[in-house]
Amino acid sequence: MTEEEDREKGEGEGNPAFPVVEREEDGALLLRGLPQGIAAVLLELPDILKQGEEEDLRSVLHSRVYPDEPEREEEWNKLMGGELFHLFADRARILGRDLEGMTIDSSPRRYRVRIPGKHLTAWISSLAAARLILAERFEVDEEAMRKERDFEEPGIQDLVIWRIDVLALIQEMLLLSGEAEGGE
Amino acid sequence: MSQTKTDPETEVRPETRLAPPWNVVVHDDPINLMSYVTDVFMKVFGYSRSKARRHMLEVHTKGRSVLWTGAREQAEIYASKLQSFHLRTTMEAAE
Repeated sequence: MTEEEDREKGEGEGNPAFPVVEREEDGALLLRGLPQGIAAVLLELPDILKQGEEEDLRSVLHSRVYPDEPEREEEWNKLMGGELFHLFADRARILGRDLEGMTIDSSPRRYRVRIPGKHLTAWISSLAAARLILAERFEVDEEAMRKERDFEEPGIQDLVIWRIDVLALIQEMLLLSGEAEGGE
Repeated sequence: MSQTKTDPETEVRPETRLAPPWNVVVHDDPINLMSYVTDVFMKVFGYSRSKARRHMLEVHTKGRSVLWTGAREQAEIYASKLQSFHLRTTMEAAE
């Protein structure tokens, strides 16, 4: 069955042809209609976030608060560095556990994942962290983000930017769903 | 009732100085989404969407925005919250 046929079949049965977020009665969000490519990028998230534990990437996730004052910066790191890192790691673990529950959707070749309402902040901030980690690791700067995407013969950076864009799409969808409900 | 008169020229008052205020500054980065940055400003400071969006646009167009000014302890709490959402945040003494 082709993607087009999948889409038509999905639409015909009232299934989403594109990813959607549905809110359940208990406040959980159901991210469904995820095509294989997007589902695969989401499943990579725990490994991407794990890289945030590496020393050279920590400064990307938590920038220097007192860049011109080494003593104050050292004091800040002693007080807050560990706490911020643990919060980041906790949020990544929450997202990883939710992803373990990803299942096949009712639409053909689509997937779904359920996000409990109280996990929304963990998801949104982890998606931001993952995008920053990918950008840093593969030297994606402002210019690279602005250039036209090459889908015909994509290079490594094109593939990375595609992942960054996919994560942005999911982040945006979750933000909009939170907005529609008046925040968390 | 007797009153003690103090000579204004000899009166010694302990010098009290208010601690200088600090700015919480957020800097632009090419990766974080505008909608995400706006959402974080609303969450952290309780700003309205329009105020949060104004600050976000200032970050985007001018490269930085002063989000809050006040006592250092409170400024550090805000800075840590912004950092927990991975926004580039610094603190600086307010002029």
